[in-house]
Amino acid sequence: MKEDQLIKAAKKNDPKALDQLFRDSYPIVYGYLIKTTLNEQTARDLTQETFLKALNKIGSFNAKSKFSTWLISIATNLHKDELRKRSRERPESANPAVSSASDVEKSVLEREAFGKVSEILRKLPDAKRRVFILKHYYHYSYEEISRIENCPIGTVRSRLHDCINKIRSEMGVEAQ
Amino acid sequence: MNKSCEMYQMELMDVHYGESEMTEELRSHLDGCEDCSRYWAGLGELETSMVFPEFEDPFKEIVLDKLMAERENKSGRKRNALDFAAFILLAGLFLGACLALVFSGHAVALSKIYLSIFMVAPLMLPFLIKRQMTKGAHTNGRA
Ligand SMILES: [Zn+2]
Repeated sequence: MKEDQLIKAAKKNDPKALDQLFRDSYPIVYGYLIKTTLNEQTARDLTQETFLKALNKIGSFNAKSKFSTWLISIATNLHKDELRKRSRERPESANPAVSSASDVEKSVLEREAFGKVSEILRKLPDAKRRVFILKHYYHYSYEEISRIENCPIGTVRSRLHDCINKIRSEMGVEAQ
Repeated sequence: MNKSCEMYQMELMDVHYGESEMTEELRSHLDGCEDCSRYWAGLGELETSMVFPEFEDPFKEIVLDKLMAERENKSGRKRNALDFAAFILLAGLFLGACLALVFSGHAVALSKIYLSIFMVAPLMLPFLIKRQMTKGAHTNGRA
């Protein structure tokens, strides 16, 4: 079944269609959130929350964007909420919804070969990191990112440019 | 006014990420500017240096099961709400019919019906049971 047919069926509360839609979108939502949060448990919790929200709001999905883009918007808002919540709980933390390198649980992110990449991503501020991830890994257009992030296209461009400069300087430091 | 290298670099970023096309102006600036050439090469290097492989969540099935259970609960709650709404509607209709009978002067008849339903019917129950048992015995005897 095609995505639009699956969405129609899911709106009519067809469990198989809903299961298929969620199953197909799971990797993109989880993948986005793991790069954004750099923590497996937080990524999993936010993925679950994203789908729960989607489950409750699927009736209002207007199919103007792709289903996965809609899910990414929900995930982004949940990540922002999570950051706000954690900064209220731990106001001293500079980058709270991202696990610090000294976290007790050494996640797959540190164990695997892409630990260096995750370390560089960790050094980017949250809002800028999300923009970089959406563009660099998911190839969303500036316009789509500005809708997802709810900010002007100019802000998207400057955030992305800042990220690139920061990454280049981090790579330069590592190369020395 | 000449554009700054920063502005050229942002335009190079747009080109790299497919948001715009390479222009003659950009190309000629690149040829003459070492800084922007390095930036342009750096953008290309990001494609290989910032690779972040996708990996499956080992708990994916558990999360999906939980979501499907939540969907079941949700539709269960919806069904209960619909049943309740149907009950309220039927009860309202019944009450309305009773009130209509009362106001059209059939209050006494209505009371009789009520009495027969709520008092006489339970009193009839032992007789009905006895009759049923006797009928059962007859059938068994014949068999
Ligand atoms: Zn330049």
